[in-house]
Amino acid sequence: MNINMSPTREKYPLSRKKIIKKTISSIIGTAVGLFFIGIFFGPIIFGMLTTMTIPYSIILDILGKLMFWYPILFLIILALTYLYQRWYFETYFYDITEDYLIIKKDPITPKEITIPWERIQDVYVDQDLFDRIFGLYDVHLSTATLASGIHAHIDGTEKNAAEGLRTLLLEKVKNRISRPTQQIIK
Amino acid sequence: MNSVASSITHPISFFWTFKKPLGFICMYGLFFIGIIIFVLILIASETNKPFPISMIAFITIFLTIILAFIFLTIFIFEYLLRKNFGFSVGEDFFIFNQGIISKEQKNLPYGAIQNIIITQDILDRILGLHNLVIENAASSGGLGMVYKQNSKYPLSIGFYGNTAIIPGLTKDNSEELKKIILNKMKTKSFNDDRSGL
Repeated sequence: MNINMSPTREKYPLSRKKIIKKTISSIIGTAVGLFFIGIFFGPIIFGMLTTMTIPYSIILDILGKLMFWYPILFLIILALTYLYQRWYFETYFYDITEDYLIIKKDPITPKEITIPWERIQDVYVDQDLFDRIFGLYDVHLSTATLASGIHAHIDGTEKNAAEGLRTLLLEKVKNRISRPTQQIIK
Repeated sequence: MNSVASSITHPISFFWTFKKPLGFICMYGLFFIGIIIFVLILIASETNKPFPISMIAFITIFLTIILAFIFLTIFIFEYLLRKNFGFSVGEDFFIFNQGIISKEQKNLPYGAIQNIIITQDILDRILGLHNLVIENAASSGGLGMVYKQNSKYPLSIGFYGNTAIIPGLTKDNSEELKKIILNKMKTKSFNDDRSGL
């Protein structure tokens, strides 16, 4: 694996479980979709075949082939999803620099966000259902804008790394925002 | 006016004007052609005789003309958008100009910029273009425009609400512009409130 490393990612790495988690969570939608397509279109195709004057044995043969290829289609989608998630995992880049936080992700349509520490409005850590199953944590950040909430998050770290990242980020933000009291009161 | 960078030093690529029309053709053109082919096959199978070649040729030419017309319309619109858009990194403000008929100007203090995003979609990747998105925390650049912010990026060029987008930059130009703006944000931040709000 050729991972897009930064000093921060070396110290607080993403978990490899993230690839499996993302593969499963995104394949579930596909599986449900394929299931319903099968339920809706299966009888229609069967009906169409029976109205044509085709021998029954050939219809059964076609249906058998469909039954055989359907799971294989699913497996191909699964494999492609896994490869894509692996690629995504490899190219995920986040770096904590002196002045800015930089997050860059998505191998096909890259999105890179740069946030100065002073502008960070909140830092929060969350887990969804699959994160709980795999023991992963997402660290989110946001400035006062909508798009920052969409782009700025570090997903799929282990507990230690998530805690470490949170502490580090809070420390950075605190150091940057705090200043002598007289200056604020004036 | 002395500006460090502007739409002259960091121009929007001419290829950018092809992006929207190309995207449209890719999305809907293929869709139209698919439907036409489907209908032709249906008609052919119903009437049970070979379809007249002249009819197919006529439909193809007709479709090509329609698609070319749509392509040209979008292209001209995009060309005008590009021609009327300008930005300049001034001393204290980031100045944007836009508008084909009604002109607008946005003066963005560097201290108020919240974050900078560089994005590429598929067509950008193919054409080698980069979008630079600059955001501040303003709720809108005019009344009655807030509702449009629900979509992620309402525009492909120019500014709207809290977002300003400079598309069609080369990789080097986008990186350079980002550095210039980040530097300005650092040196020109508000003295009493560094959160930019």
